[in-house]
Amino acid sequence: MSVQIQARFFAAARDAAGAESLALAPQSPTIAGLLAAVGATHPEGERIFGRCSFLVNGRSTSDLAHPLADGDRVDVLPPFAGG
Amino acid sequence: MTESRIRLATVGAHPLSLAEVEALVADDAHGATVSFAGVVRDHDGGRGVQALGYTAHPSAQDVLGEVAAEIAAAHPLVVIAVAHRVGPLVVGDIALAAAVSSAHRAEAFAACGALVDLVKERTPIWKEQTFDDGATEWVGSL
Repeated sequence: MSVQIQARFFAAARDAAGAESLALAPQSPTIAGLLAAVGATHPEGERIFGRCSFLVNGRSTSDLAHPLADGDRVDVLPPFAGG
Repeated sequence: MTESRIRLATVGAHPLSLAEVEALVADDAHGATVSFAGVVRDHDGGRGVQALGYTAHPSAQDVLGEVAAEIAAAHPLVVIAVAHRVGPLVVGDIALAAAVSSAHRAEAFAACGALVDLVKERTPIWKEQTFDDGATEWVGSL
């Protein structure tokens, strides 16, 4: 069963993904699966994606095994660097 | 109530000054004001820095408000004002302006330090450095 995820990428993750926003259908319905779907076309992003935290429908997680359901919105957030 | 003790918690593009946040925490009952300016510096990791570009997640303003509320709750005797700037900044510009006042200095020092630490830890803001040679780098993302 395939799920459709709307992913948004910020800062260094946006540069690595080559887009601000992507509609993705990961083979495995988890955050790790989502990142693998991006990494398939942007392998250089693997290092930065591995340091990111995530918002799934606005809720924060850093668990790569976090399950995703069809229609979920995922924001990919690199380490914060404000101040 | 913590809300009335948060005079400002904002993320925006307008230039910041310490005078602005210090004025917001002024109180006749408060004998101590501690402020902090996070300023764009001209070097990082031994390389010369020309400019910084700050970008924020759409939730940054809300997160900054939550951070201020958490500090206000943990430090019940202080009043807080904090602002983070986004957009293109140059060396010398203030990126983060924070001020905390209280009746006595110990609480203001402690709360201002904790506030700045928590802002940097929690607020979804990023900065991209432009070095003297034109190369760019997202800070903290290597």
